[in-house]
Amino acid sequence: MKKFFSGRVKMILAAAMSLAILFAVVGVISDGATLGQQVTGLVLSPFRAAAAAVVRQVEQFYDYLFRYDALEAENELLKQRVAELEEDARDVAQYERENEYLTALLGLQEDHPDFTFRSAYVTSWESSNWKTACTISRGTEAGIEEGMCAVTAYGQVVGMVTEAGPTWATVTTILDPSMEISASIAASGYTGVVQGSYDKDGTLRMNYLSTGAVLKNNDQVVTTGSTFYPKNLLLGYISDAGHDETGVGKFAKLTPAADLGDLEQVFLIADYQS
Amino acid sequence: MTQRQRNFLRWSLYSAGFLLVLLLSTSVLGNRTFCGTKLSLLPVYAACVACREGHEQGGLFALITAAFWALSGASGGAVFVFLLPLGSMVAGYITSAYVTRSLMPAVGGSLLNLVLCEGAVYVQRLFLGSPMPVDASRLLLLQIGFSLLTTPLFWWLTGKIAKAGDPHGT
Repeated sequence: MKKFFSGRVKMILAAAMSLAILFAVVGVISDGATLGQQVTGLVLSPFRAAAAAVVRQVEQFYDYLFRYDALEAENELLKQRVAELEEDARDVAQYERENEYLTALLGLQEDHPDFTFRSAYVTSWESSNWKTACTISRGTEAGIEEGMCAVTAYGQVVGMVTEAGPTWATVTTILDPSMEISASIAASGYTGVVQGSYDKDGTLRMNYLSTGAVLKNNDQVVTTGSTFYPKNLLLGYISDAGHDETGVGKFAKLTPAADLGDLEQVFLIADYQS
Repeated sequence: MTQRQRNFLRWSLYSAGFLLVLLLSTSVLGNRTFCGTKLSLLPVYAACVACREGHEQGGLFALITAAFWALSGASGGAVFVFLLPLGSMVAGYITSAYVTRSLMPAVGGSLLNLVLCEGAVYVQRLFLGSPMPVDASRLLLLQIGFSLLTTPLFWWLTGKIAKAGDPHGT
């Protein structure tokens, strides 16, 4: 083994050890992207964007070749769904008028969020099993900052910007267990905290629901509003429920509203009035 | 073409290969799972390069790529920075000192790198009490197994690149 530990090997090992300690320490003490990460992200941005563009084109071509019938059927289904939603929208307009009337009657100030969006494409995904995050094609130069909420084109919550460089940003998705979002059930008003989970089927978990909470399948769960998340953004739908480990509260499993598997573009809420 | 130029070309191609691995891992396969697990390609690629080029050069290459990998924001980066060069150097040394340079030692080296790097990330999360899936150990084994299947591809790729630096084209 003498040959293995040559002077060069010792130098590489020492450099590796020093760098590993440096990365670990910087990772712990720094908040957001470090200078090294910003430079690396900047260098990688065009490659990631190109790779993502190629993947999108290949997927579109594949869909056209092999999923034409399925897409046609899906198109029909969506047309039907649009018709249903238009009908629902008419009902909503009626409820809105009623709401306006009641709000005015109670003298409450109308809660009217005013969103400003920034759009970006997803260029890459975290390759680890233990984290769910994606890199997007725009960063601080496009006005994207850490802490911004990311949603789909339909207003479904995707996650939050946790790191931002000049031309890229990292969005940690709601599926990541580190994410905790204050939420409520739209129909009944019960509140809890929605967290990511490692479930194979990609579900979320709503914790800290009161024991008396009545939970129904397909009930919508929305944000309650906080520093990072505007109010009433759709998080998901209840798919299962039960008593939590302590026995003093309930939890609900949620199917995320946003389809993160096929996510191509996200919208960042740059500004809103709560 | 002088030997110096050939060496430059070879290491440029290895670096381009690393970029390909990085983009494959994040942009192409980053959002895809195989039986619930994602592939870990960098340890396999680094092991193949070390088996081709020997433990010193392979170790240095692994150190540089692991540092770039960590800087690109990959989780477990610090663990990779130390263990990837170590594993690659051991794999490269065993290949050049004890066995013939072929696919099987590269598979062994890849296995060593995967177990060291991904295993250490797993153990680190376990000891830090970070949230883990219920079947985390099963996912880890599947990840190692599936990633190992890519060794022939990277062994072939690094073989083609290594020929660029061989004046006799052997």
